Amino acid sequence: MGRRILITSGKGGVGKTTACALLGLQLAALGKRVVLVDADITLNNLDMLLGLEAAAVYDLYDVAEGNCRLRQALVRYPYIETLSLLPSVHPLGEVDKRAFGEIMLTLAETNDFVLIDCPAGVDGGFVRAAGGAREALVVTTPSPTALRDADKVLGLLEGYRMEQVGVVVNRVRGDLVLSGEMLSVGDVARLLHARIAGCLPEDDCALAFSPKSSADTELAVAVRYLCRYVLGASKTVYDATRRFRGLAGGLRRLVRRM
Amino acid sequence: MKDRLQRVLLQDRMAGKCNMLPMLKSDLEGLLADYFDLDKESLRLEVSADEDGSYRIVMRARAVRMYR
Repeated sequence: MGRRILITSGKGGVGKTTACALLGLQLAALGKRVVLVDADITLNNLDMLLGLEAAAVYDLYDVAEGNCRLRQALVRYPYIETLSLLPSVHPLGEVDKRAFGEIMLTLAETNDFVLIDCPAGVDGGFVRAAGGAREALVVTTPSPTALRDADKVLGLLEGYRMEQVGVVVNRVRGDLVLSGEMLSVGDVARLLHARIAGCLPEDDCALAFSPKSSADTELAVAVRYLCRYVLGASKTVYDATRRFRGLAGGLRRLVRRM
Repeated sequence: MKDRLQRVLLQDRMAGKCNMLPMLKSDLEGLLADYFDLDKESLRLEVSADEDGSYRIVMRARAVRMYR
């Protein structure tokens, strides 16, 4: 049975959908069978992030309503054959919580990973998405408001008895961490009393990331660390400050300030 | 900023636990009543959060007698 992992955050705009897509792409690049589920029914974006917005014919709502079979709604990613997307395109479609859970179980029977992109907030959309998962990754940024919401989500997830819950700290500026202007990953772990699964550095080109890209960016390196953590191969978290240490690092920090 | 955020997080966590206290108190009354003739009005229960994330639970109660 494949692993069903909820990607959630509480606060919107912290990079949850991007993190979901990046993790899915990396897992699939390693040969894992991955399905990304866009559970953000009203404000869906996973399809656009993957460049598949024109490819969806049926979606999660259609599957839940019995309008199509599950495999008809899956959109295969053209560059990695083991990666698929279950999109949400009906803007006002409502999906029953039980039906959602059954669809996730069915997907887990034929895939190694089902990554569920959860809507922001902690209302019905969150409850529906969390009910279909057995593990969770809570995405946050080092900002106080995002951490506050992440803490509340971590508290709510205790009620779901998840097998594993980890925190992914996104948009980390290593230069600002070293100068004390941004909380470090260690600070986040202590404040939230949570396990850190990954650290993703701030990257203006994050949305342009794809396996086709030949650039070995720091973000790509960080995503690989996160992937290894999810696979249980390593507990090492990417260090966003490393490239800002030493003489060369000091110059980089200076340039960023200019 | 770190200290301020820590205070806010502790306050939020305690606010979330407020609903639990009456239920916990009721459960403890029931349990203690098996062993003591309890003065139920005297039962006091306090739960507070420490900065390291642990919780301090203090309970005080008075009993008229102990059952054998």
